[in-house]
Amino acid sequence: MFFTWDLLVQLVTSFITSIAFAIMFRTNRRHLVSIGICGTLTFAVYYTVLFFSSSLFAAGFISSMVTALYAELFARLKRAPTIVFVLTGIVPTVPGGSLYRGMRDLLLKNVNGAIDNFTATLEVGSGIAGGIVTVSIIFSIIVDRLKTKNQSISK
Amino acid sequence: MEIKPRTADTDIYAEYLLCLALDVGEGMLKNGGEISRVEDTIERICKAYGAAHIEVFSIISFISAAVRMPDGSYSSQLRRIKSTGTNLNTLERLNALSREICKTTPSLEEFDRKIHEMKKTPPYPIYVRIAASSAAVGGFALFFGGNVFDAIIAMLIGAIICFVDIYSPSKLNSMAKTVISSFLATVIAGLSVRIGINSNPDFIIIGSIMILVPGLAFGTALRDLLCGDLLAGSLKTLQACLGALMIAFGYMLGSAVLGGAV
Repeated sequence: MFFTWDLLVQLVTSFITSIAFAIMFRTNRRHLVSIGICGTLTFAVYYTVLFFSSSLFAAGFISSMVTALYAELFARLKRAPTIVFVLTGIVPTVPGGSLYRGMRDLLLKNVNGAIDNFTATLEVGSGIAGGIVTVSIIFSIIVDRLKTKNQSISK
Repeated sequence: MEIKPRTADTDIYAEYLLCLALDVGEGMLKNGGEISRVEDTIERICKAYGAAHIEVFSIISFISAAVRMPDGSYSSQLRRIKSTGTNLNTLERLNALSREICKTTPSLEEFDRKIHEMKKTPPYPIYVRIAASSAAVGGFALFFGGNVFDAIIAMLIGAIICFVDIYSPSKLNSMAKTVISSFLATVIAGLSVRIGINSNPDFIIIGSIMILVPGLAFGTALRDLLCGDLLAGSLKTLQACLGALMIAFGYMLGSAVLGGAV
């Protein structure tokens, strides 16, 4: 089933935890609400992709691409560095759960479970990093193009 | 650009300019800025003041830069950065300041005054930071499927982790802080199960691991690597892996104290 009560709880808590992280990172107060929305959106995309494709890498990759796009947009709207929205927006998808389960399995000498969980951690982590990098590279190319265009016009 | 021969008295301007540019760069690095941003900012500021050559190299704990002005004056300086944290507000303001300065290029004294004015702004008060930390841990306990009792214990742990972060002696390195926080989280979660407040410590521990986990550090590390800052990226990756190892170490220590896996 796509919609469950757990999903609702997760959407609400992803909003809260993103804002809490933003405060812990001492973000300017005027960004807090947009950061909360960014966290919820990221988790919603992550959940949807995971539900339909059941690939952790794809979920991490696509959700962090959405985060990075949101960050590029809001960085320009609010005149802040993109890192403000990226760092706090990806918080709900950071694979802390599988990292913990891997550690616990290692402690219980359940090596197969540990390998599964650590692999899942790496899969999501590399997906998230890959998504952010992809968007930031595409944006830097676009911005460079626009700048050179403007210069050639003014000349 | 033609560069005149170097004389001693003109060096002072280059020294002062590079020192101020490095102040901005150092502030960014200390408050969680990316390596590429730091290098880019120092380069832009020096170029805006008319530098002929500017070379910057930075890793997570060190910046070195050299500038040469068209009049032949020359300066090279180093900065060693010992502590890093994440303060996005300061980062944002430094970014805005560097943009403004590149656009308007005020006198160096004015530039200096602007940097020092900015350092005085206070961060969030301590009780807000503690509340945020406990909201994060409690929120994650619910997020991963815990019930309300799990969330309450998790919030307590979040407050304790924040206390450890704020009140530990400043010489204590971040690895030791991570071990202590992870140890305390495991012990408190385990004890709450022993007392019988809740049946499963998993969600509480996952919640507290989420705010200790170097997931963000790992993300920025991979990003630096993929963007071509190989040295800084590999150092950050090492730092993130060590952080994860320290969480595991604290967890194992806590489990050992309670006797067996929690």
